[in-house]
Amino acid sequence: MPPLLDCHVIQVVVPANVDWPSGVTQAVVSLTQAVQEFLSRDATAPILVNVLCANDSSDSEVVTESMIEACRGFVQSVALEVPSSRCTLVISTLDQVQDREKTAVLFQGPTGGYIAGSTFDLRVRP
Amino acid sequence: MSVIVTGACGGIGRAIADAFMASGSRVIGQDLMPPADPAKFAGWISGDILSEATQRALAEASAETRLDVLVLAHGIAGSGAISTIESKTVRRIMEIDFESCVATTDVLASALRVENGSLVVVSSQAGLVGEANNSIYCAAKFALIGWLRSTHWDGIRPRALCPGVTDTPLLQRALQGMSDAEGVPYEAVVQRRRDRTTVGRLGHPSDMAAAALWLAGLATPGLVVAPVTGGEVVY
Repeated sequence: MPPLLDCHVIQVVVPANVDWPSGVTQAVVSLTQAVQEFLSRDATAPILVNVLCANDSSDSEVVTESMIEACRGFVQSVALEVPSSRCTLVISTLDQVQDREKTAVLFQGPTGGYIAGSTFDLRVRP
Repeated sequence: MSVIVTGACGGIGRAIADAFMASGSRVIGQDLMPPADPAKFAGWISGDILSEATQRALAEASAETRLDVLVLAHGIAGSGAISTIESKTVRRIMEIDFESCVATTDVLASALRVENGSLVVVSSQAGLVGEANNSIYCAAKFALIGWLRSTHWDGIRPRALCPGVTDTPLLQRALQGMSDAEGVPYEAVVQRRRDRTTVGRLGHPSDMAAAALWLAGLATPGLVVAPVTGGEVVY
């Protein structure tokens, strides 16, 4: 395997019982703090944001989609504001471990350098 | 028609309220403070949109009359560098620009549903594509789209108005924030935004008012997302 870039990875887990709508706000606050910490440590490394959804989010569709969209707007903005971050969003369900890992390998690898500000929604659709 | 407009003292909110009044509608306005001419409105509610008192007043106002259109035009600017924005500011922007829209709609949904009314949410072009030095505002405005798209509205016609750069005090504050964050003169920031449109000008509040009237009048039941951006954001 080719060497992977050092990369900041942030996990945003959409819990089963999240306060609505304040849970979306809390997710953005936590995301902001995580990015700020990474930037203070190394402002040149890429940033990958993983949003992890429940395997079945049909009962919490509004919360899940609102949280995903908030993260997507945030990620796009950071990618524009901090170009070296190439900040990118990956959306997946908890059980999609291998697809998530393959995506991270692409993003951090030598052929992933043109990925910036993207959203990759890996979720299985009915 | 009977209309409630939140943020009715803001540049876009007031233009929307005026346009509905000019079309013969009865408009109840809401904002932090009353306008200079509150008598023009059928009713006025002063207060913080986040406060229970304001939410109660809105519910009472809708109970006293039919509600055909709810326009959520309130909001605060959210520009600033991601590396330095404080958590309390992040929370405030999200609470006003996202959470309060959900809460206000929850309070007024029953009244809207009676008339198969329209919910017109003023999001932003920043709710469609990200903007540097505006990450939290984008998060809030994107979240509005996610909420509108994924909710089962059942008898309410949802609409998202996504204005581009519109010459209002809110925009001026947002551009000042970007100017401060980037260390670029304010006039240069304005010109840069003007240059990014294909029509060569900033938007007027009247552009957004016309779009809001059109959106409220559409019969289609599903979500309509309406970018009005002068070509700066093509979506």
